[in-house]
Order: sequence, then C-alpha cells, then structure tokens
Amino acid sequence: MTRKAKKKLNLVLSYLVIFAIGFIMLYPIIWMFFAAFKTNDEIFGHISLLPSTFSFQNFIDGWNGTVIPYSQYFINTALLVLPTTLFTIVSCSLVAYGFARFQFPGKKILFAILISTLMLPNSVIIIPRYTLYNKFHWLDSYLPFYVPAILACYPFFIYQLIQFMRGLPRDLDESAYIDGCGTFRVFWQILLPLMKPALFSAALFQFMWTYNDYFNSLIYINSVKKFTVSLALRLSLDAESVVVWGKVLAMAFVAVIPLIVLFFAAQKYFVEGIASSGLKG
Amino acid sequence: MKKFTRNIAAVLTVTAMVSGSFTTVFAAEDAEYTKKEYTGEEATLRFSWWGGDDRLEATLSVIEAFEADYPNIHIEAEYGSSDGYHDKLATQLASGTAPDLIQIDPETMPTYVATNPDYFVSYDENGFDFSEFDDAFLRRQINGYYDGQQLGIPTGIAGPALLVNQDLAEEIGIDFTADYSWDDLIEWGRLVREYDSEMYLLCANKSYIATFVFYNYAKQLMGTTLYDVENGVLNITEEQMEECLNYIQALYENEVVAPASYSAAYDGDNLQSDPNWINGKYVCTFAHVSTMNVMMSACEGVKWIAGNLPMMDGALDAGWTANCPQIIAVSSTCENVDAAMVFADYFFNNPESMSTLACTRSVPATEKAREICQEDGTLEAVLMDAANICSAFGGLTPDRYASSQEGKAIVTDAIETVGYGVSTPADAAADTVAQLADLIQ
Repeated sequence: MTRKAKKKLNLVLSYLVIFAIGFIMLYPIIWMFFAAFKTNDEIFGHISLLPSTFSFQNFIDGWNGTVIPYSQYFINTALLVLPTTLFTIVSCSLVAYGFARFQFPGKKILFAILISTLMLPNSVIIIPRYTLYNKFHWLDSYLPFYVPAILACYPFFIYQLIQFMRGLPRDLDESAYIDGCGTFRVFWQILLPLMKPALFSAALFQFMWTYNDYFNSLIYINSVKKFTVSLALRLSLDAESVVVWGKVLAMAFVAVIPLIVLFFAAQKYFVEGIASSGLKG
Repeated sequence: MKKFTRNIAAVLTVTAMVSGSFTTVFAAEDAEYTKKEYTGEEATLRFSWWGGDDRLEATLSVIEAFEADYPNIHIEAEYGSSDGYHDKLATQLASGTAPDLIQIDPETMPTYVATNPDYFVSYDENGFDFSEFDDAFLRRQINGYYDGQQLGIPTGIAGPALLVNQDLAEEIGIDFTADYSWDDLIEWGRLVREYDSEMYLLCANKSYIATFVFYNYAKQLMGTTLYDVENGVLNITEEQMEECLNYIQALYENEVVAPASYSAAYDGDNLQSDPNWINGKYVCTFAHVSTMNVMMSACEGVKWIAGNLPMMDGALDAGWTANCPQIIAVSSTCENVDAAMVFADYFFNNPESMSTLACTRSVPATEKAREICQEDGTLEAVLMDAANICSAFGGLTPDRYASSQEGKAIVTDAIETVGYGVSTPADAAADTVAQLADLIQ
C-alpha cells in the first residue's frame, strides 16, 4: 500500500468513526422526528425507526393545540427569551467592564460576593425571589425574567466576560484615552467589538437556558395564554390520561428546531467564545 | 381471627350494598337541581388543575357554561401539567398567592394542612350542599375532611385496582374473581412462567410494589398504619418490616414480576410504556382506578376485568381502601368565597356538569353523576367494578408520614435493594425501620 493510499484509508476511517459518533449523538433527535409520525402502539410496541405511514396529522393536531395554538406559545417564548437575552448581554458586559478595567474601593469584596452568588442553587433563592416579586406585583408577567437580566443577576456571564476582557490588551484602552475617548466610548467602540465571540457565546447560553427553562416559567407564570413552549409541551402529559405521544413528540421536535438552527448559525462564535474566555486572563 | 371474620362480614355487607350501582351506600335524592343564586359583586376566580386533554376540554366546557349562567363571575383557568404542580402550589400557598379554587392530590393535602390549617376554607361553614355525596365516603381525611371540617371535595372514587386480562387468566387457570391470598399470587406466578416463559403474572415496578403490595401487606399484617401519628411513633417493627420485604423478595425470586432491572425503565406511572404490557405478556397489573383506562388503552383487544384484591390469611386489617384521585379546595386567600361556593356547587352538583365532566377525574364521587355517566355511556363497567371492589374492603387510610414523598422514597429504596438482591430482607428491614423512625423526629 502506498503512502497516499494509506493516508486516504486513514481519512476514510476517520470519517467513518466521526460519522458513527455523530449518528449516535443525533439518534435521539432522529428518533424523535420519526416517532412524531407514529401512533402510541408503534412508539412503544415496535423497535423500527421508521413509521408505517408518514402522516403530518400529529404535527397539525399538535400545533393547533387543545385550546391555544402553538404559534401563541412560540410568540410568548420569543417575548420572554429575546429581551432577557439582550438585557443580560448589555448589563453583564457593563458590569464585567467595571470589574475588569477599574479600581474602586471594595472591588475585591464585591467580586467575591458576586462569585459566591454563582454557587447559590436556584432552589435556595426561588422562595425569597417569589415573595419579593409577589410584593412588586410582577407575578404572571415576564418581569421576573427581564428585571434580573437588566440588573446583571447572572454572575456566570459576568465572570465569563471579565475573563475574556482580561485577555484584551490594556494598551488599546490607553491609546483610545490618549485619542480623547471617554470611559464609555472605550467600552462601546474599542472593547465591545473585540468581545464579539464572548458576547455571542454568553447570548447563546442565555438563550438556550431561558428557552429550555421549565421551573422558573412554571413558578412565575400562571396564565396559560402567557405560557412558553417548555410549559406547553408538558400540558398534555398526565398519568391519568391517555397521552398521544406522537403529538407531543411532533411539537417537541418543532420546539428544538430554533435551538438547532441557532447553534449551527452561531457555531463559530460559540466555540471561540468558550475557548477564549476560559483560557485567557 | 374473630376480628378478621367480623371485618370480612362488614366487607361483604358493604360489598352487597355497594354492588348494583352503589344504590345504598351512595344513596342520593333524586331531586331536581336548583342553581344557586348569586347576587354579589362581580368576581374573578382563579381555578387551577392538572390533567390531560380530555380533562382540559371537559373542565373548560363546564367553565364556559357556568360563565353563561353567571355573567357576574369570571373563572380564570390555570391548568398545567402534574409535573411541578405541587411545588408551585406549595410556593403559592406559602406566599398567599394561591388560586381561589385548587385541585390537590389527596396524599399531598395533609402536608399543606399540617403546615397551616388555615390555608383552606371550610365548605361546611360556607353552607355547601353535600346532599349528593355519601357521608361515609366524604367524611374521611383522605377525601378532604380535617378536624370536623370538609376542606376539600373529592372529585371521584379512586383507589387500588387489579386489572386482569381475563381470557389469558382463564386459559392459564387463574381465577381473580374469587377470594385469594398473597401466597396464591406466588403460586400463580409459577403457573404463568410454566405456561409461557416470556410471560409474568404481574406487571409492576418498584413504585407500584411499594404502593400496592408493601403498604397493604403491612396494614394487613400489623392491623395499623406504619406510624401512630397521634403519639408520634413508628408502629412497624423490624420483624414486621422483614416479613413484608421477604414477601417482596419472593415476588422477584419466583418471577411473579419481571426483574427489577427490567421494570426500572418503566418506573412510576409509566407501566403502560412497557412493551411486554403492550404485547399482552402480563396476566394482570395493579393500577389506580383513575389510571386503569391508560393501561387498558395501551393494550387493546383484550377482555379486561377488575380482579379481586389479595388478602392475608388472618389479616388484622383489610388493608385496601378507596380514596379519591383529587380534591378541590378553596383557598383562604380567596376574596369572594361566596362566588367560589357557587362555582363549586355548579361543578359538583349540576347534572349538566356531571355529564360534561364524565369520568375525566375517575369514577364520579356521587351516585347521581355515576347514573348520568352510565346513561351517557361514559362510565365503563370495569372502572365501576374496580371502584366497588376497593370501596368494599374499607382498610385503614395510610397515615401522612407513610404517604409523604420521603416515607415513600425510603420504602421504595428498600424494595429496590431487595429486588436487585443487593440487601437481604433482614438488612434492608433494619435500615428502613431506622430511616422511617428518623422521619418522624
């Protein structure tokens, strides 16, 4: 075997392994897609991946919903997730700028407090938060999601952005100051464009976590007309009722499409952002 | 033995009374329904429940009809999944933001009442008309009766049931319609394995073995519930616990049930997903009356019957008991209790509502509703039989510690270790009794 042929064989083998691993990783989604065309009997009683017939009835019935159509749930999800993501990025990058570039009294203590809140599990803060939001009359609205995002209550993203910002040379800031820029202009025109990978990565994480979040949406939202997709997907699941799983899986598949599209569209920034923010600093 | 004979006699008497459409036990007056007057101010009530699509459609239809009859009262429906429902409700009750009318799991309600007895208003004090309900069924803690006050209304009759594939049972030579003991189940399990090595007698997972086998076996063995709640002590001894776990070990070792490793994939209320159940490889399964239809629809084309429930020789208590699938309570933060009472009356006592709601919350709790559902053809005979059978036993209601999530988890863990053969019943019993004793402190 020549060296060229050997190289080609290695390449083919590598691709085969990659394809096999990729297929295993994607199999749940592929299974979910085909199961969306099946009846309960087919889903649980047969191991065949492909359905006996390809009817889109489950998608149509699922989308129309029992009372409220899924279009409403998707609109609600967009109303909740998009502003929350935007507010998070704006507020967290500002706070990160403060910690990364300025000296002020109590900086170390404040940073330690900030990082310590990272360790607080959601289940510990949910009751005091709920009580507080109740007093503010914010329940059954999206304010419990917007306001913490506006006030930079996400220490994970702040930490991530601080780490990234520490990797950006201070010389850039100083040159800008010499050219007459103020502190905000340095942030806006010099640092922010360079932080694009980290901002994209933080935005993607926040988008995914808020989109998939079930518990917080469940606790803070009461009206079904304000439900998000994650709440809607569980609406028809009940031990005492016959669940038409084809319908549920059809909507579950539709629900993951935005995440898949977003991930592939922003894959470059996603990986870059995580890698650079984690290693530098 | 005398006590047991007396119990059996009582059970038989009740069975005789209950059979034939509950004609005596659930005696109800055949009076015309008179809609309650409401002259109060305009009110908006929040009503929360969980459930599937059928329950949703039926409940929304009743709400729509109610709002047409009572334009001054508006009902805001807050429905959702059972997943996280009670976590949210606990938060709401603690913060005073609970809905006005709340569907509650009867086994979770004692925890709420113990936390704050004033979370819910009394239906009795607000003049709710209970004439359609049977007092013997209604006035029990599991059905919403606490300290002499009805804090909740049971939405139906639930309880344990044995769902039997009658043709298969007959073919193998097993009779679930006669009285039988726990030991018979072991023997029949062997028969089934001899008949077909791919089949098992009983479709059950660790949660179902805990709920249906352990708790009822223990009550029949002890004559009491696991805890003496009033005196704050554990009733069950290590020896009794070991006996219960010995029996559960025998279920696994004699292949009465599928191996623990197999059923682990279908734990909780997921037995209907077991491919062997779907393909008719089990003779019977324990189920709740309210979940029987789910199990039946997963394995179609079978003649289903409600089988009798096993009884220990020399049992000190009947063990099996009927309860309800849900309770509807009115929260004490409700600003217009009068309007809530009018809605509750419309929901439970109006014949049109009874017909619309049908069996979406199990077999209806009132005789009148059952009659209406029978006429409509919405109440299946097998469900009614199952309700009759468990109602007739009249065993002790599980105490609040035993039925709590923690209590169930301790017992289920013990069953799992015995099922997998990791612990002997003796070791598991010592550990479980110690953990259960800690729970009450």
